[in-house]
Amino acid sequence: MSDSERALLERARRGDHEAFGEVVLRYQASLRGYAARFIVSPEDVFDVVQDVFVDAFAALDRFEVDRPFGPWIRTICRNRVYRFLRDRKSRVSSVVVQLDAIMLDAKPQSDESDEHLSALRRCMDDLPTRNRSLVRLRYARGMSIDEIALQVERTPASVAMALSRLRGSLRSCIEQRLLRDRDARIEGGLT
Amino acid sequence: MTRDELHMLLDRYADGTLDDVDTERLLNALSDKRILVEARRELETMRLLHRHEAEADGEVFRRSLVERLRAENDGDRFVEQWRREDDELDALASQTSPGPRATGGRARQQRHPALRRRRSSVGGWIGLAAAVTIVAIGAWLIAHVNTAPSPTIVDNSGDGTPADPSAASIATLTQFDGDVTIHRGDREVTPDTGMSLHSGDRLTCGSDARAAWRYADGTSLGAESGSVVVLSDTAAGKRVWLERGRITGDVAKQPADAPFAMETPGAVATVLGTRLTLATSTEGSRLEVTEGRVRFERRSDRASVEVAAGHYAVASTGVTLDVLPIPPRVDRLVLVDATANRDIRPVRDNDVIDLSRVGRSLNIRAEVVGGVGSVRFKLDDNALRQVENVPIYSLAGDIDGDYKAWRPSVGAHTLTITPYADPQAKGSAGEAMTIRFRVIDGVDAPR
Repeated sequence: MSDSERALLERARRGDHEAFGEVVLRYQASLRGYAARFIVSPEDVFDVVQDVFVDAFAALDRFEVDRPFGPWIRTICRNRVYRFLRDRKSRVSSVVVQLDAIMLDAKPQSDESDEHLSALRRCMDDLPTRNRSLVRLRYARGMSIDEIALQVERTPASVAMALSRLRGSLRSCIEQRLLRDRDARIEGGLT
Repeated sequence: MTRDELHMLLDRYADGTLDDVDTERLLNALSDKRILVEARRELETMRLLHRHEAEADGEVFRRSLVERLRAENDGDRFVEQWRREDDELDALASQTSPGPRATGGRARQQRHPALRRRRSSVGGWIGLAAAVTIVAIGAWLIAHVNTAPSPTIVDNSGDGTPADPSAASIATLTQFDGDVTIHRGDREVTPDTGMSLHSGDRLTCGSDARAAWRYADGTSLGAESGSVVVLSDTAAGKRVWLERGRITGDVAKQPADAPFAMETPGAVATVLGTRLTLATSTEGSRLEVTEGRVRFERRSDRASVEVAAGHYAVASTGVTLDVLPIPPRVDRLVLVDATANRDIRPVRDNDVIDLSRVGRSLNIRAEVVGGVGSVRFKLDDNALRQVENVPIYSLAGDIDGDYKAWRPSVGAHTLTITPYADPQAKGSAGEAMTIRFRVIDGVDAPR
């Protein structure tokens, strides 16, 4: 753990929310990425990871600041995700449980996923502002289709359709960029 | 199943708004290996977007969390104050005569099981919300049960500001027809379209009367004939007390710590953002959910169920609190501007549509509830006939949410809409809705 992180955690233990917020900024992306592997709803991912940090803040007194923070917060996250999935099973119908089992069966390979993420970053740069906003509302802010429809004053069906098309074009863009990168690597190896 | 259909179902699956019929449909479709591969690829793209956005926009997440931690911290300090205020309210309320909405701190807690649940589960943070709500609602209980001038009860702000729940406008009366009366404190206010409604206002709709109001967040509600409704708005969320009758509406997304509570003498529906209908009578309270998900609690034994989209539940003594699918039904019709793809207004029986006001490129959308596989529109004995198999269900159809234009002729029309359980107007038919309306173009044509 770096000195700056230790200092932030010491301040957070004394109740400094802003200091804890700085720590949150460092870990939230990886935890949300982890939770999104098991939870499909952007809204639920947002909420579950918020709960993780609330739990962590409440338990900071028990955390030894000389130990690394990452594994500790990831353990809390794993437990929270597990609890969410367990509660969901008892909340939804048996058909949805079957659906969950099928949809969440295939987990991404982390290496492959990182490569895809890097390609996605470049594809996102080319997106028009309007589409960029739509992605932000859905995945950064965890809003449901209905909520987005209310905000942008469109029907839920047209928002869902726009998002579907957008994901399709981003997927094509990612595949093309990965192919281009592979070709470039091959060419680089030949010269 | 087309790729677009699959993707739309996956989005609804992600949002938890798939009804039983579509869940089964998706599950069956996934038995086809090609569809399964496509679904998993789509899910992987969703995950990637999630990761990307979490990296790109962590600030929203950080800010939201810090605010939540602050609120919890503040709540700890207010818990003790809340307890003291609750005791004061008990003493004050016990001086008033008992009414249908019982007084006293214990009674108020029974009226707000959602708050009690949240307070016990997340501690002091909710204590703040509960404190403010209970004080404010205590104030209007006294004002309206006793019909005495609303007293200044306690300071609930902590800074010396008197609690006065009726001071601020909380909604706007957008429409009313027939004999609608509004009581504010001990006086009657003449209803007027566009007027402000205040916390504590009591709306009474006579026979054949109805009233609609809208909140600043876009939530819109309507009360039908014979309804008595009291509105309030507190730090813990908006409240609607339905003494009798029926209210319907679209509730915009509410903050997680301040849900919209719709209450009847027999039940509480806690709403975070959805479309629903709540009706109450001496027989019990019935909740229908069209979109989203609502927690519904029966007061008598605090039994509760979660009612998902396309389902209903009835809270009544001696009847099991079950959640059942809503039979296919047309809920309402909406006139749409097909050029701008915008809703103009609801269409009702005996309506008049003035083309000089609403434009000439129109469509009518049917909003349906229950397990609907298709909807058949029949205008003027088949002058225009349309069967719609996927939402959006509209008279002239649409392409991916882009409405096709219907240019109605001036004169009288009859439109019949029938929902069916299966596609292509097959399967069991739900109750048909027939409306008659007149189309004019600036001046009314002779009938």
